[in-house]
Amino acid sequence: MIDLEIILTAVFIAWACALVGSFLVTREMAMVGDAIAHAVLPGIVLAYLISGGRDSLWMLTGACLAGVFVTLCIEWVQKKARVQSDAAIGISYTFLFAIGVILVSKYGQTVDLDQDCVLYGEIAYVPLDRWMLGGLDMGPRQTWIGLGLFTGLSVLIFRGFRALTLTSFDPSYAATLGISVAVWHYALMGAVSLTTVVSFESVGAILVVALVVIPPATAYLFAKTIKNMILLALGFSTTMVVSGYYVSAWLDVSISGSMATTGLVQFLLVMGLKPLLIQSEKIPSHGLKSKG
Amino acid sequence: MKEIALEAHNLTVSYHRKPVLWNIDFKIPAGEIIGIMGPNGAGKSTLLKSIMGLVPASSGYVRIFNQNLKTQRKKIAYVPQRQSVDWDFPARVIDVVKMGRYTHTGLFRRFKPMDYEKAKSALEKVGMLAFAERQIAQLSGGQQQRVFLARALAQEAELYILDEPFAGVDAATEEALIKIIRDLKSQGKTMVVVHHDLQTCREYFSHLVFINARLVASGPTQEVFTEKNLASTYGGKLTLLSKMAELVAEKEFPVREKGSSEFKKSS
Amino acid sequence: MSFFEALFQNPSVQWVVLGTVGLAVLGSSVGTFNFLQKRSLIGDAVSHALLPGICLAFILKGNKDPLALLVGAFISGWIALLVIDLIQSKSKTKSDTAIAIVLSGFFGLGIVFLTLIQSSENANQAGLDAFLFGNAASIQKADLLNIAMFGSFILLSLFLGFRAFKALCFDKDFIAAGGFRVKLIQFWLSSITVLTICLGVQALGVVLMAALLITPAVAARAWTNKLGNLIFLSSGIGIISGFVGAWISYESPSMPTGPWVVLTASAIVLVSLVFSPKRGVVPRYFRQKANQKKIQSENILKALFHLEENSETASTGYSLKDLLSMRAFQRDQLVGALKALVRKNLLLEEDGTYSLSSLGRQKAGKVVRNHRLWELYLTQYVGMEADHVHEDAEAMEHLITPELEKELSKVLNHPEYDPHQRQIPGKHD
Ligand SMILES: Nc1ncnc2c1ncn2[C@@H]1O[C@H](COP(=O)(O)OP(=O)(O)O)[C@@H](O)[C@H]1O
Ligand SMILES: [Mg+2]
Repeated sequence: MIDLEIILTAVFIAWACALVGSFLVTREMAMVGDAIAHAVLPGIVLAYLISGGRDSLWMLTGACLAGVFVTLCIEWVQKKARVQSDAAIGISYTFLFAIGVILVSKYGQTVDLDQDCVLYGEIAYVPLDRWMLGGLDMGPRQTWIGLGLFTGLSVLIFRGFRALTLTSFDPSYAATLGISVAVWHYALMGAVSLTTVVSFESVGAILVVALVVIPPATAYLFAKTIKNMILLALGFSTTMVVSGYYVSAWLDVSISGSMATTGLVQFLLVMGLKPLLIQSEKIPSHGLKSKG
Repeated sequence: MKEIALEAHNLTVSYHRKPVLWNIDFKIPAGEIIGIMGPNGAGKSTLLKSIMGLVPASSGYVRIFNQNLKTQRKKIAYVPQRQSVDWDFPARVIDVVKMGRYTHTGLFRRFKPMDYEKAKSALEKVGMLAFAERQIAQLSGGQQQRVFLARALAQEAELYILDEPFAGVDAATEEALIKIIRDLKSQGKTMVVVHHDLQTCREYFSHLVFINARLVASGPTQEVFTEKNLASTYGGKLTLLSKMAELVAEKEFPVREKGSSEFKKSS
Repeated sequence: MSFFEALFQNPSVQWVVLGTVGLAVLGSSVGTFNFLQKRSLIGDAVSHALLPGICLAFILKGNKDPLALLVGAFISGWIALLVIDLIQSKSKTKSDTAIAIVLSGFFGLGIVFLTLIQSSENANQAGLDAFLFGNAASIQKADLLNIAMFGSFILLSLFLGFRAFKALCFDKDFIAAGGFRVKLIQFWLSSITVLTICLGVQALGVVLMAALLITPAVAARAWTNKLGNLIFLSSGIGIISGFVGAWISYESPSMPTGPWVVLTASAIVLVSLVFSPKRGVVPRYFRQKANQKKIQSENILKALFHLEENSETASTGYSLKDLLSMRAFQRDQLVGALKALVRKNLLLEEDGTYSLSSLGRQKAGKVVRNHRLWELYLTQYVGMEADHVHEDAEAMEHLITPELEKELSKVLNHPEYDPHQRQIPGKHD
């Protein structure tokens, strides 16, 4: 039962991560996802401090603001100060993460947040925090939050599917059709922040990145369409999370760490086996093959 | 005079404050095939991007069918340079062409059977119907170009703006593309094509626009295709103009005075 | 004991400070090359990817022997580099995705090992946590020895290989030529990068060591273009950050060192990006303001020049109203600007009327000359219609330098009339 609750929670969260991650990976923004995941830390601590408790709404708001803030930071450094993009990402998120670590070491006691939690998350404790509805035990709170997040993001991605796809593939063309590229960009960044924050409690800051990036990247290896890629990513995230859980139970090690590891292994396996699995579909074409 | 499809009025465009196009000023008649010619780095792509509102103008303006771009979006289809997108993107040929229908369906409304038909017929016109289900990563350069044109065709616009459609494509594709362009012209559409081959440009275009950071000449091909214009277009940048551009960027100088159009004329 | 007293008396404080500062110098100088190669985030990934190697070395060796951990870290960092390259070459995965995969996957593996060690109740394990957030206070004599030894090796490599690394960052032909030499130099640079990170993670932590490779280089880049200066400046910024970080964590021992080092470096980067004379946001803003002011005062001079030009008789002076009839000046701005011009002896004021001083007339003449030369240039060389050139010249007249003016005049064959058949004032009239 406890196994199931933990696995279910992890699966929902992993699905939510895979949804937003698919667009991050196709937009070549994986490291921006990494930056957001680190940057929500100060947001969470500040929200704890301001609200004086683990009030979810405060925490979500604080962390989302921090997530969007870091993307704004990156953009400012890139556009206004004209720093190359990789360095812009690097300086922005390490700055916010440093603030976060300082806040955690100073106020960690008061806000009931320690450095381990930042790194590994507390998914093992998910079953302890129950959602009681009129005296009825509905199950772990995190599981429902994960499900809610996944549902919410599914709606967003479903509604915004055309815009997100088009602005990822060809933003200039999207703009010529009168689609606001910036609006969809920030909608996605907001969604990534939200996902990161919710996942953060369960799997920690750094391993969120594994959930966001690795399954979509695995799917990207041979997905034919973006829809295809999202579905495959959901599948890969399920196998990653479930196998990760059992490996961790077997070796008695960190659950989230083990999930990230199985994710990496799964990616490398799929990449290595792909040439064997899929016969090369290369077609003799009458044109010149371009690199573009 | 014929209806004007596109007008650029004293258009100056800068990147990071450095002007790359100076005071471009021309009019393009509707229903013609117009070539935009100039050496590499002349600012041809920038001109198109500015026309499409992708790069803001530092001064001047663009009119499409004598209207603001915003009101004319449905009438204008843009075919960016093939290299401007990542062809590894997970999408099939038909998915890309369907994007062209968004001007009609919007972002949220469902596709009607007619929209599918139009996307398919656009693919058929470029000879790529058989490839509809193929992943775009598997296309050759020429096929990619055809898909991009098909996407624009699906838009059913009045004015088509193509950035280097013939660059790096095979001869068969070039022939197919020019045939489609001519077909569209005969349906009364206006075709603006960036091109770099001087050999074929007289054959392809009835009007030419020569640019190299500034407008060298624009007008009917037989009038403007002259030794002199070619020499000034391809004879390198004007040193003084380049120096001024550097200076504008370095000193962070405005290329127009604040509200200069209100100033009384008194030089 | 205050920090500075301790600095002179307490050897363990000296170790900490020396170690942190030394690491900061290494990180920022090696990081500069990575930054120029646009490989900053690879350093980030490598730094996360050291964890499994460190833990494995610990498991195998059974204690925290610094050298063993270093070797473990180095191997695991290099494997991470190779995996990133492998993913990119064997699939269509983009570089940022490859980096993120390796970063998070390897780090996850590290966490797995770390929890494995923790659950095996090894008495020595406490120290390993330091790799996550850094703990400079844990720098011992043996660590310092390692830092000194490998650090001198790294700095010597940078010094001897300076030209080769420079070519790797800037010389496109050199890189395009490819071949064994380029590969070897890249290998060398990558190796000393990994080594630097290995030396630093324990004191500064995984994420924050990555920052040290990036942040000082970005800050230094705001001030200089020359590679040599860049490296010195970035090392200097590294030293300050390292010192401040060590100081703060001495004053407040519960604080990890890494974040304070990074925060200091971040503050310096912010100041640099905002204030550096060439690229800074604030100086740019003031430059633009100054331009506006220059434009306005020259326009006033010019308006008076035109008033003089147009009037038949020599007038003693012109009123505000006259000026406003020439040009849509903002009235209150105009009054202020006139006063400033009078102070600079460019204008003469008498009973609320203004006229040009001889200095002012000379200056105004230059502006008008620039305007008309530029108009002529636009019509003759840029091929513009005479009725389209005014607006452009209206802005450029203020920008044209004396050298450009000479050049223009020469190219145009020292003309006398502009496209509107108005006389171009000579240089000295
Ligand atoms: N995004 C950009 N940022 C800065 N400079 C640019 C950018 N795009 C183009 N340029 C510069 O503008 C000039 C014109 O470029 P472009 O319009 O692409 O020329 P063309 O299409 O005629 O080859 C070139 O000097 C190029 O370096
Ligand atoms: Mg171009």
